[in-house]
Amino acid sequence: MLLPVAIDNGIHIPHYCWHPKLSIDGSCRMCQVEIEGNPKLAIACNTPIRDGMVVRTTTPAVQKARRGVLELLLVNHPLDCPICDKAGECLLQDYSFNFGSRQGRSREPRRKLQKRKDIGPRMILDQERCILCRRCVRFCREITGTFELAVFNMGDRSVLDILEDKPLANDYSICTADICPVGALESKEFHHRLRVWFLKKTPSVCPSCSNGCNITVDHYRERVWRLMPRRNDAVNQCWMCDHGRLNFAHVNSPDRLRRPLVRRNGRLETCEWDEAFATAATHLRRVAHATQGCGIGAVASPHLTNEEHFRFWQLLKVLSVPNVDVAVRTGSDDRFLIKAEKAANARGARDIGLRPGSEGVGLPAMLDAAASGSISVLYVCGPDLWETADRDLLGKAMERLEYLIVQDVFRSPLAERAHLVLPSLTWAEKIGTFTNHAGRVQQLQRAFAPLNGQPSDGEIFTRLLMQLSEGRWTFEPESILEEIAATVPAYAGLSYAGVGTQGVALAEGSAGATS
Amino acid sequence: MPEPALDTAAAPSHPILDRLQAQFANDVRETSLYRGDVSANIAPERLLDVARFVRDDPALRFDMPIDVTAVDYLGREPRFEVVYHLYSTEHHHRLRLKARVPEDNPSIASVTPVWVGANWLERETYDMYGIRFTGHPDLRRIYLYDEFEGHPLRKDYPKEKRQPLIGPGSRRGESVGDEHPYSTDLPPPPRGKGMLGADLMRVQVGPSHPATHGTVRMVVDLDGETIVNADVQVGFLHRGFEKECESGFYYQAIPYTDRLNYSSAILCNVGYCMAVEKLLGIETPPRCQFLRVIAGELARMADHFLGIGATALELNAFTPFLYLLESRELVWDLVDAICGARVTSNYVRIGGVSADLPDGFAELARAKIAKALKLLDDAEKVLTENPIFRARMEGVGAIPPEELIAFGVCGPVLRAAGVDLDLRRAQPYLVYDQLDFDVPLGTRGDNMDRYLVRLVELRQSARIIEQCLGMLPAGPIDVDDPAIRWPGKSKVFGRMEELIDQFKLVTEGCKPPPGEVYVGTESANGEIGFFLVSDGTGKPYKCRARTPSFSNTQPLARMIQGRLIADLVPTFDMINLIGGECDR
Amino acid sequence: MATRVVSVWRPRPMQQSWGRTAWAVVTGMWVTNRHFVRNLLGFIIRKPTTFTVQFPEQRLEFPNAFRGMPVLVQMDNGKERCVACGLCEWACPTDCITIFPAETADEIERYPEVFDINLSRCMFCGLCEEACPEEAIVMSQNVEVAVYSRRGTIWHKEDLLVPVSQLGKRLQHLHRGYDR
Repeated sequence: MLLPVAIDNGIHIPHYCWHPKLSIDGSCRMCQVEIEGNPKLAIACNTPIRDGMVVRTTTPAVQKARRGVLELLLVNHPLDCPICDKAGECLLQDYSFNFGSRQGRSREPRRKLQKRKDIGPRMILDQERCILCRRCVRFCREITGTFELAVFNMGDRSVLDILEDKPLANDYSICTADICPVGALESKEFHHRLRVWFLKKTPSVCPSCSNGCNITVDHYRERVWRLMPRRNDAVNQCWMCDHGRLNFAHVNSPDRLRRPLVRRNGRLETCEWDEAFATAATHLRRVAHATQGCGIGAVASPHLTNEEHFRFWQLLKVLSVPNVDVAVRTGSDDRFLIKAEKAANARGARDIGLRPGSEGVGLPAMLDAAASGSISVLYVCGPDLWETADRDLLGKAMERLEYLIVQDVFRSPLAERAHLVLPSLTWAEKIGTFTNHAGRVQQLQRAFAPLNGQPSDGEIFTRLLMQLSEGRWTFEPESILEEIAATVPAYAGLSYAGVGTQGVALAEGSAGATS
Repeated sequence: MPEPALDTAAAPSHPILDRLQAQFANDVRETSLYRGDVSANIAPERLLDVARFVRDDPALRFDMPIDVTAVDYLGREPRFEVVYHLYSTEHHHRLRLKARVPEDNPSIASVTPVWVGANWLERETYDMYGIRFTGHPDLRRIYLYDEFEGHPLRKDYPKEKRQPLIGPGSRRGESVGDEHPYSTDLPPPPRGKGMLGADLMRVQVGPSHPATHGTVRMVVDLDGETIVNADVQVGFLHRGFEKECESGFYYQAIPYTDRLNYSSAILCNVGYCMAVEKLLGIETPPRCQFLRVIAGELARMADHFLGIGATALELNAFTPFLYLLESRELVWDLVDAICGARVTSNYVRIGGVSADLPDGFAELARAKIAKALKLLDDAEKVLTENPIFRARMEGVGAIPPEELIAFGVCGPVLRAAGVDLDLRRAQPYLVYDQLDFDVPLGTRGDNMDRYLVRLVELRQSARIIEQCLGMLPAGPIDVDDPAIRWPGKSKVFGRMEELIDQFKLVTEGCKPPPGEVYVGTESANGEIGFFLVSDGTGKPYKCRARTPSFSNTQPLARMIQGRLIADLVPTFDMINLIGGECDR
Repeated sequence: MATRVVSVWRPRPMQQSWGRTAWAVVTGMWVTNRHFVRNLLGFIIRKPTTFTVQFPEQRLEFPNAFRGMPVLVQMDNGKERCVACGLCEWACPTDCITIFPAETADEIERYPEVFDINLSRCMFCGLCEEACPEEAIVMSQNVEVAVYSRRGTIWHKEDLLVPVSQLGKRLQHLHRGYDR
């Protein structure tokens, strides 16, 4: 069709009802263009292209048509801009400013419909603002298959609504707010939170499950305010699930660990980083030496980036630790975007080699070994072990362990039992790559720098490597990806430039094996 | 590598450009007549030759260096573009010369051998951008302290970065011996004996000095009471006007322009808004232009009242200072009634003015201006023929007009030397071409002439205001374009289209098409010019304010050389250096 | 256009006109004494002719256009008219306004939970008033904003609310310009 071709070639034709991932509606009439040979204007979204077609998009007739469409849309549109969240990213504002008429002519009172209608657990509808483009209706019909929204009545009495007993509650409901060109559908979470013109946007990858939906992190003043999906036709098209979208409160939580904690006299006390690294290195070195590495167990976090996994893997190799595994919390999946593994990079961890060695044990055998005393030091990264392991077994293991290092974002009950607690950074403060469930390597960018120069997990592993081995170690994600490319056969040839903003798929069937 | 020769058939034709291209052919890389500004991009190696040619060629005669600055096109090679603005006092035409220098070797020949006034301007460009001017007699920082690291107007220098100078001499608080901590940039103090057998002495006048209004530090080498050498250091009021404007929208820069020449703020507002309007390619309606002239002339009167008054004060004539301050208060009452503030007027808007005149303004204005001029009469009677005043002011501070022009001096200081350069007359803008007024010229160029010129200008400003009040047409005070000028509130409250326009204009600003313009207007001290570069967004890519006080203060050291130290005071005062304008 | 170039009148050199110069001294003193006597008489008969205003016992009347500190308009029901749209925050050149919006259950669904103005940054330019689409923030006539601490320069919503009945003058001035 003409409209997507024009957009792909950088020609801007304003449109409301058309969306690259939804069926063609042809209801808004905004994309009218002049086609040579046609007496009337045609809508670009439903006009097939043919050779030799000459299309004009800025003639007076087209401008007049746009003005007409906009004027009629604005006739009944409420004067809500000051209170509407969409201001700043509203297509009605943008097109009206750029293509609309300069003066309002209507004097009649505007129609009165329901405002601020609660239509679902996460969504609000303002019927007066709706311009009846029906994108949301088609979304619920074609993408989620749940059919909650519909346009009722006809003509100038048309109104967008739900059925009383069927709220907009599907797992992707907030996507309707994304595709709504105006502020009719609004997410409750972002309702009256912040003006969008303050937001800075950083492209990244959602950390909540192994699908790795591409997202944009909207942040301002070192806080994450909103996550929005970013288009990637190979992964998530233009969508993301509500759970992942709302899962960012931990980034700005005041309860986050910021300083390392060491156990002194039975209590956990904050300490300096140097002391933390020295203590950890001492214990690790001692036990590694005494047991040739077999007395140490390591649980990798599936939330860390590939680069961080690689440094962890190198650290464990230096200590000759064979007992390595990844703990991942699993849940339900649907047949769309939500995947069972509720962490972004378990696959990356396994690909890079964070799996039990030939003489080692994985989970849950590692906990048995700890409980029986053959493993005396456990290095646990991430919250998933606490969330997935059997609590009794874990308790027994804690009793027996000589030294427990926990590296996490929050002070979990497991951390309360630790001898050394190292604070982790969240995904929003890291540069790195994730590998999703299907083997696609995607890049994260850092939304803002961590507070007070807090080191990332990769930097922590690197510092430990510096203490425990010779050689100069740095943590620069770009060069580490090159190291990974040189070490892990499935990742050969990868680079940040190659990964880009849309990611790169690993070869089919590769499960990543390292020597 | 040299770029291919310009296809002159396709290039815009203009007598100045034709002359340049005839002489320099391949070295003129690009020419432009965008929005009427004559602009030529030349090969940097030929800069000195081009400069000499444009100064000396009879058809061009660009004898006055208006401005030297640079633009940082980060990401493009060559990265910097050094921009020269020139004016011809003979032909009253302008030229913009540009030369690109690369990032790894940002150096270009200094044009101080051609125009001595480029000295401070090049120092400022070096300070802000790091462009090295080879052959410059004294290339040191002018605004920032010596230990400052980096060049702040570069695009990769973050606005929020702070480099406070703590402790004497350096940020690390190291001792610098028994030298004064801030004199690391000066030549060694004078040694030897003076004419009466006493030592030569170095004295610091300022930066806080009761007899110099404005923060300027003058390091003066004295032989008894005679000034042997003086180094004038400005920059104590440097607040980063340009960097601040680059990070906000065009409309947000208007209150900052108030703070350039804060004695006559409206003239700065007018100059800036006219530059933005030239970028946008729009004309304001007649009533708006008359209002701008009225407000601008009131501001000019306020500035001159203060200039003369402060001079009187610093020559110890306290009483006429108070009379003139009362005159200024009366003028300020009028400015207050128009725009709501006396000094920080924020009156002019892009595409219009902020508010129309209040009711009864004409009567109020006539009454107050009449009273202000009566007080001026009284001050004149006390000052003009007073022997002490005349002894302090006559014969002091004059340098030949050709030198003044080469320094880039303009305004009352230049007119006092007998040069007919008033932009309201030479290149009329707004409605000055419909008005009758006199342009006073002095005969000797000393401080007395500068004072007398300002006296006449005051009365002429009053005459202009009177004419404008009589000629004021009815009509809109803003251009009727909702992509530029914020809509009237009654519509914003009640109509959807205007509400949306208000939102878009506030959040994204008006977006001039990419290009660059320069507009120079006559402010109280001379030509105030704004060089704006637009990249098509709502924020200016570069917003350069060419301020008269900066150029006017350059020859101060030359003016007072060989004079008594007491002569420094009236000379300094009659230049009317406004700190905000000089230091931006 | 009829602009003329004139040469300034310059008095003759003092060496050639001592008489005139001496007379100038007399004229000057005449002027200053005239002012002195007039002012003195004015004080004696209690009708001062001086320009000085004895602040704070006497206060000046500011014109309608005067821009003092920005204040929030308080409607008759005690609530602010502001709906926390954020335009003033964005228009402010010095970033001195901080707004955190929140939801109400009333008909007007949005209000500013936090509305702070940092008066040490505010330059009283009036762009916030111009940007406001609700006539909710206006420049008052108050310029007496001295405080005792740096923290005190941040004025919160409660400090900024002024009943609409007290803002008549300013609103009247603004309404003059509404129909541009």
